[in-house]
Amino acid sequence: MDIGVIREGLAEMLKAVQDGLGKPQIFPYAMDGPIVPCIRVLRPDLIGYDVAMQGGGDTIDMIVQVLVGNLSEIDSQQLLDSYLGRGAGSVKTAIEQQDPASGARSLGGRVDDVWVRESTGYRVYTVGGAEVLGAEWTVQVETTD
Amino acid sequence: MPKFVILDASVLINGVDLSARVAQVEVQMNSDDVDVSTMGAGVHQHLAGLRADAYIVTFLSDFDAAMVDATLAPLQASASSTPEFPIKVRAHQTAVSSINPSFECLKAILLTYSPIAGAIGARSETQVTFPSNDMITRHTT
Repeated sequence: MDIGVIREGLAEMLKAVQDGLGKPQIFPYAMDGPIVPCIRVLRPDLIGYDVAMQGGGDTIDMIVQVLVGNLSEIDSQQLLDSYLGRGAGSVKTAIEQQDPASGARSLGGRVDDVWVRESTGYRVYTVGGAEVLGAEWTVQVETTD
Repeated sequence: MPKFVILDASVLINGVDLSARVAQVEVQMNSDDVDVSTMGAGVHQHLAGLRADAYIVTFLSDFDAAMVDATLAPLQASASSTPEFPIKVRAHQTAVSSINPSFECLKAILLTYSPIAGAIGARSETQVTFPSNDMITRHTT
């Protein structure tokens, strides 16, 4: 399990979100002073080691965060709605893209399986002293190496 | 060998090492309990009957070549064919020894196999019981 590779894979899959509204910047790591709208692979959360014998697999929850802008602007809310849904610009749909060759949801062949399990829905974050509307997703990743 | 947490058991099914797709394994070495109670004893008396050994393995589903399904599916018994195959299980990946015995049979069979079993959102696993047509024996070399 290489968390850096998982971050890169998530960031690459999330480029599909740029086909929708907002054209967000995408970062594989949390960075200071993000310019909204942006999507960040924030951090690994719960990690389950050894789901099979002889190190045969691990499970890791990755947290992906979206920041869209001023919470009172309709544009920001429409943007976040599109990220939270399943249509164009959906974060879930982007991350769960199937690999064209294998048909697996594998972050471009980097992991065994990936599943966007849940989202917090609307949240307000403080970024650079300002309140910013956003949301987080929990992405369950299965790996075998 | 001291107490241990089981993490690296070795599971070979018909010569294929599926250890890295095994989430749980159990070796059952059982004899039927034959009641030979007699008058006046006041208790049940027992004798060992026929052996009924088996392996119970929970696999993480994997349909890749030479993995779980590709190994198990050809072994499933039918009315016209009952393939018998070896199984070897030991607690650790390290070599078989007196402190890492291998529990082996030559004539395991597969009567019931569920290649797909799972609820939405759950890890795809399948539990398989392999009855043995011979006794599971303990090897130290």
